Amino acid sequence: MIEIKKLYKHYGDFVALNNLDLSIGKGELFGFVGPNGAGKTTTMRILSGLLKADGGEVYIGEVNALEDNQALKKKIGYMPDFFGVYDNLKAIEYMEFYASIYGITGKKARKLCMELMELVNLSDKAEFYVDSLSRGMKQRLCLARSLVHNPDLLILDEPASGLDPRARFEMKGILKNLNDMGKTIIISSHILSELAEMCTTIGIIEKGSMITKGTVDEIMSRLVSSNPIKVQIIENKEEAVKIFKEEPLVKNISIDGDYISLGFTGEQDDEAELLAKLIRNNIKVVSFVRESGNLEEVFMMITGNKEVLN
Amino acid sequence: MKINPVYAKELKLRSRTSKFAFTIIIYNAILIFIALLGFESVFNVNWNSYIDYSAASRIYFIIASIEMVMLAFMIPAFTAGSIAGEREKQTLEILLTTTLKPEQIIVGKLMSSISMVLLLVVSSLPVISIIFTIGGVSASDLLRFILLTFVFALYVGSMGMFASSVVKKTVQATVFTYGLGMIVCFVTAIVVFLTNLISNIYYYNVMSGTGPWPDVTGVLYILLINPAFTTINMIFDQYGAYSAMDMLQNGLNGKLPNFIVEHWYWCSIAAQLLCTFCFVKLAAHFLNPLRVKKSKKRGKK
Repeated sequence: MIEIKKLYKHYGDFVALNNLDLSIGKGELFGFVGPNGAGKTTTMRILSGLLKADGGEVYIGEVNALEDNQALKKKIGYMPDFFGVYDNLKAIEYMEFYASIYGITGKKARKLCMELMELVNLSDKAEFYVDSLSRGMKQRLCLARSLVHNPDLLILDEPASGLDPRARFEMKGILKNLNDMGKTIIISSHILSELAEMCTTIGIIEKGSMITKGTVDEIMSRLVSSNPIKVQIIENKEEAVKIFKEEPLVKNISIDGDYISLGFTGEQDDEAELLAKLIRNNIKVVSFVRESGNLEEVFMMITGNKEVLN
Repeated sequence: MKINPVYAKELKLRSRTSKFAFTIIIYNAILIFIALLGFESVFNVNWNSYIDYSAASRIYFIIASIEMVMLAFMIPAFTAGSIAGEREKQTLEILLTTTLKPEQIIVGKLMSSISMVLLLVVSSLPVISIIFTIGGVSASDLLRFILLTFVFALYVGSMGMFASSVVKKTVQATVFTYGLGMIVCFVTAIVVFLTNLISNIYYYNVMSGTGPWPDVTGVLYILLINPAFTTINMIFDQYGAYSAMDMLQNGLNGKLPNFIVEHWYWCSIAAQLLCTFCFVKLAAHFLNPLRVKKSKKRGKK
C-alpha cells in the first residue's frame, strides 16, 4: 500500500528525515511512534501532499505521491494534530462542504454525511454548530470529514491528543472499526502504549530514521534480551558479586538491598549457566528473572540507545 | 453548473454574520447622508436665491467618488483576511489536503468577497439613482460606473488575496493590501508627476529652453492600472466639464494614440483585469504548499 524509499527532508541545516525507508501493507493499522521532533509529522505532511520532500520516493498504491499530487489527494484522508473549524457552520453543513469539494452534493451528500456521522457516533449532533462541540466531538467530526471521499488511506496525526480518557477510548474504538472495514490507517503518537493497544504494526522513528518496525510483540522480543536480570540473594552477596564481576557477559552491576541488577548480554543458555554457577557456590538465590519492562521503558530504551536493536 | 464549494461555503458563512448587515446599513446611511446634504445645498432656496440644476450632476460626482473611496477601504478588509484567517483558524491545512486546487480556493474566496461588494453596490443603487429625478446622468453612465466598480472590486480584491496568501496574519495582510492599493493609486500618479518634472528640468537645463518640449506622454500608460485615475477620468467625461486625459497630455507635451484616449475606460478595465489575473495566479502560487521555496532549496547533505 505505502512504499517509502530514502525519503529525505531538511529545514535549513536540520535534517528532519534522513533517508527514511518504510513499507506499510494494505489494511494495516500502523502506529508511527517517536519522540517530539523525530520526523513523524514531517513524514505525514509529505504523505498528505502538504510538504515537498527533498529526495526519495513515496508510492501510495500505484500513485507516485511526490509527483501526482491530485491523484494522491483522492487516495488519502488527513487529520492534522491541530485543526480549527468554521464558526457559524452546523456539523452536517461542515461535512457537506467537504463532500461538495469531491463533487458529492444534494441528497446524496446529506445521506453520506449522515452515515459517516453515525459511524463516529455524532448523528445526534448533526444540527449543532461545529464550534459548540467538545474537542473529542470535533476530532470525531474531523475524522468523519476525512472519510467523505472514501479514501484508501487515513493519515491521522496524533488523533487522540488533548482528549480525555473516555474520548480516547471512543476514538480507539472508531479507528479499530475503520480498520476492520479494510481502511489502511497511519496514526502518529509519541506515546507508544497508546498505539500498542490498537495498532497491528508499529514503527519507531528517531532523528528522521526508522529504528524498528513490527508488531508490539516482535519489538518487545527483540528487546527483551537487552533487559537487565534481577537476582534476589539472601546470603553470600559479596561472593555473588565476585562471581558476576568475573563473568564476561555481565556488563554492569547495581545493588539495591537483597536485589542485584545485572546488565547481561548472553542468551538463555548463558543465563542458566550463570544461575547454576551461583548455586554451585552455595549462594542462596531466591529469584533470578530477566525483567520484561513496560512499553514506555522499551520506547525510552529504543529512542535513547538504538544500537540495542541492531 | 458546479458551484465553487469554497464560494458557496463563504457566502453561507458571511450571510450568517450580523457584521455584514451592519456594514450595508452604515454604507448606505453614509451615501444617503451625503446625497441629502447635496440636495439640500442645491435645492434649498432658503440658502440660495436660485436653483442651479447643473449642480445635480455634481451630486452624482460626489456620491460616486465617496462610494469608490468607501469600497477602497472596505474591500481589503473583506479579502485580506480570507486566506490568512483560514491559516489562523487552522482550517487551511485541511482544505489543502482535499482535491481543491489553490486557484479554486483563491477564486472561491475572491468571488465571495466580490459578491458582498456587489451586494453593497446594488443596495446603494436607489441612492445613486436619486440623480435620475433631475437628470444630468444617463443610465449608461450609471452602468459604466457599476462595471468600473465591479472591476475595481476584483482588482483590489485580488490584491487582498495575494497579500493574504503571502502574509500569515490577517492584520498584516490588510496593511499589505492597503500598501499595494497605495502603490497602484498614488505611486503611479507620482511617477507621472516626476516624469513631468524631470522633462521640464531637462527642457530648461539641457535644451536651454529652446525647441519643442520633450514628449513624455508615454508614461501615462502606467495610469491604465490606476483605478482611481480611471474613475476620475470617467466621472469627468460623464460630467462633461473637463477631460482629465487632455489635461495630463497637455502637461506632458504630447498625445497618446487616439484609440487609447478614446477607449481609456475599456483599456484600463482590460489592464486592471490583467493585473487581477496576475494577482490571483500569484496568490495561488503562494498558497500551494508544494511550491519551490528558493531560500530553502539547498543541496542534500
